[in-house]
Amino acid sequence: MDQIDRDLASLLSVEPSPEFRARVRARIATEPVPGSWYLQWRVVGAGVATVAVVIAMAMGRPSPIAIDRPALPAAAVVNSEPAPAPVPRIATTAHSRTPRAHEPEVLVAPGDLRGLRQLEAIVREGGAQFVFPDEHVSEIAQEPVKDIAIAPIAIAPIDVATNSEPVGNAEGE
Amino acid sequence: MHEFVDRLAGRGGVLGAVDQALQEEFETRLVESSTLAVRVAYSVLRQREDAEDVAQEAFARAYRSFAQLRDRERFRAWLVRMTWRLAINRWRADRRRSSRELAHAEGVAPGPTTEEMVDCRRRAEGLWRAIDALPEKLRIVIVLSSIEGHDISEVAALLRLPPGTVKSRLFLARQRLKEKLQWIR
Repeated sequence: MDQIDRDLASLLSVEPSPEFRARVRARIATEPVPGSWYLQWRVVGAGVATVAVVIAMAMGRPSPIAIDRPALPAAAVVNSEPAPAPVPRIATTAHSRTPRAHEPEVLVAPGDLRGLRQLEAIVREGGAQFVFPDEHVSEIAQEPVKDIAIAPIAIAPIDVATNSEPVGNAEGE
Repeated sequence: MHEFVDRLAGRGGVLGAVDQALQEEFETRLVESSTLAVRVAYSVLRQREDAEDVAQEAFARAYRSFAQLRDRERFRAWLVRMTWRLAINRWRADRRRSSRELAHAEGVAPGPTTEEMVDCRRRAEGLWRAIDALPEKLRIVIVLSSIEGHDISEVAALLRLPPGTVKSRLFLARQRLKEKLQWIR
């Protein structure tokens, strides 16, 4: 330690006055207690964050479509029995998804709505399977494609007008 | 919600016990760090009353944030930086201060005669002037190293700087002080 350090240490060796700490204590007595302030805001902040998350989840979830589920009719129960083994079958899977805003709205006649709902309920519960026998498919496939015959179009020649009247439409005459 | 929080924060509640522990810890920090804060402020302001005012303000701010400053080293580092910043701001705001306290220079040599007192005062004035001429980042390093005999690692911890940086700044500050004091004398 050289002379400069000794001089500087001597210059800075000032002690706080005896009443300094008492003044600091009096000053902080007017301040809010730091722990409760900090923890209270943490509790309140956690509550606000929870409410915000709940609101965000509620707003982000699409509204479910209420579909009346009618009781399964007897015919549906009969149809749900497995088909005989040798008959190949094509099963369809029902995907329950909600329609999105950009998809076109499907209009169903009021008279068909009940039947459609029953079908939807049966399919959703796995109670129905769609069976397409091969013979029907093969019949359709083996049918020869027939040419479509279109009769030639006859166009009548245009008559030259003999007087001052305008030429009329050939079809109109 | 408010009732729940108030009940938690009440004297008998969980937070009440936490408050009590925090206040006891703060009292410990106040006792062990008050000299450090006053000296840091004094190194800038050169007046004991002003230095105590600034240190008091720094302690009040530390108290407000004490829940995040419970670690001893963190608290002291934060307190030193806050006190230094408040003191610099006050010094700049009161730049036209004319008289600076130099009475403390008597402690340089024990039992001074009148001639020695004049010599001490002159040396102190020159040293303060040389310190004032230092850049701020060199000044705080040499001031902290002179307070309470802090070594390089302690100054580095207080300023949150690498020890190598503190060492080089300390060397540079001493070199400039020597040059300045030779020129003054």
